[in-house]
Amino acid sequence: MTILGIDFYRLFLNADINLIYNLFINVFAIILILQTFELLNLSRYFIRDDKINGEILDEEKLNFDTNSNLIWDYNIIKSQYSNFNKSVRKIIDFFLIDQNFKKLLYANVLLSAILIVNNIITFFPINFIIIFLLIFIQLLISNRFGGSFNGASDSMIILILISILFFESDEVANLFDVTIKSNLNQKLSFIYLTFNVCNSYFSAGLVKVKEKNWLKGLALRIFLKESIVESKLKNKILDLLKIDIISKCACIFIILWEISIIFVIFMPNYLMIYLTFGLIFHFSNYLLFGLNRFFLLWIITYPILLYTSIHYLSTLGMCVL
Amino acid sequence: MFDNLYVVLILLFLTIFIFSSLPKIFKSPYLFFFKNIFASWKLFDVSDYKLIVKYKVSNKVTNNNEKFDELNWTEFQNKTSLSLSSILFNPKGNLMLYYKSNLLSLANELSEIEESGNSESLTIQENISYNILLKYVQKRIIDESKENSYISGINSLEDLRYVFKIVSIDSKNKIEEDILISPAYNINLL
Repeated sequence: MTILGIDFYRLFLNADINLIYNLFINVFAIILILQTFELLNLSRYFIRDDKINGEILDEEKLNFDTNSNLIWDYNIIKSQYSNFNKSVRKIIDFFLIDQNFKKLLYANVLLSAILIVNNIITFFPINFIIIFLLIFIQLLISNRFGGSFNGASDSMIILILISILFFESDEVANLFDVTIKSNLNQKLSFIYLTFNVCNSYFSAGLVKVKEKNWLKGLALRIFLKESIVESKLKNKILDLLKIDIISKCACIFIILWEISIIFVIFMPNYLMIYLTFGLIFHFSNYLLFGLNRFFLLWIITYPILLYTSIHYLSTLGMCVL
Repeated sequence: MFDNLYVVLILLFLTIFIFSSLPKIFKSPYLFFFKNIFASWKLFDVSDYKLIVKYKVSNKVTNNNEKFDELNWTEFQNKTSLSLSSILFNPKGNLMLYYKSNLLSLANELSEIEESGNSESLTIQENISYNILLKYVQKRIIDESKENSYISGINSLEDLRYVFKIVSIDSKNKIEEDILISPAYNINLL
């Protein structure tokens, strides 16, 4: 299969797993840094600041300048932990309360940066611990926003980190003088991530099959009207979707595209066509709905999907078919 | 023991699948903390109703009796345009997306409270999504009062009182229905 003059099948067939992994982990770490900076940019909306420009403010000025922006006030959020026992609540409070939470975000940036440096010059040879800490921080971040600040992308970050944790698990095995047979950890890592990405498409498709608005072709129109993005492109597509047949075809195509992943993943040649549509699908989601995280985090997993399909799943597909 | 890769994988995937299909498990407070490990991808379910928020602001100084009835509702606008860089860095857009998902959660929680009819359940004023929406509306009012003094005679933010409501609009018939009207609030910066 050749796209833009590049034979992707041959490229991924001959590719070194470590090279694919290193490229993936570096791009992922950069995205993680960018997304943490997004949160830091919004920090005035969820962190009570007792200092502005290093100057401690009097109470009246402090309330106006800082708390007028406060939306996700921890005093509101923490009520979700009211059923936890006192000591667990204290630990959670310690990490999630205003300034400590900001430090946690900086730690996230630092650890992600170490991950990149480590892959280039092996600066700090314990990736396993870094990944473990990053998972812990991500769980805290997603809970700080009640699990709903970009719910899907928060989950994908954690799933990617777990797959990286599998990949790096040979570090722990080496510590205990255990040899992992046939690079089982690497296979497990790639297949775990592939399964989760496929599950994300398949489950989303399955939900749409049960929704009458998707089957009637109304869903895209409704979603687009409610989109946060204002653009000429959105208005043009909305005009196009007013034609019933186009709207219905688009909805049915998305459902079929999402559900077909469970077959296509076993057929690398078709998977490449599938992922090309995936690229268009995610980029459209960004342009029309502003979902930049949904674009970045899913797209970076595509090389892993291709590698896994070619090396681990295509033979299984031949048996099934 | 783990020679057979596929046995390990099947066990692993079965665990993930079972956990992600049983959302009720996450009602346990400790498992709730780990719910993002077992992601649910049931996104993009769409309803026939569009949810919007409207608000009214009253000025204590010029409107002694706080007659909200005489004021018009203002719709909470939540639109942005994208720039080239926002594919990598989009805080404003993500803030708006969070507002939307918070509004949806609140609407779902409202219908759950209504369906359960349980008098012991939390009142809506204690609900997290409600309180976050309250803060959103308050912030919008503060920003507007700073930018354009559309309320004449304003001395301080403490002079302002506001109410807001969630309106569901039938996408076919354009019929509006109020699903929640808040009590009147003072601007509270604490």
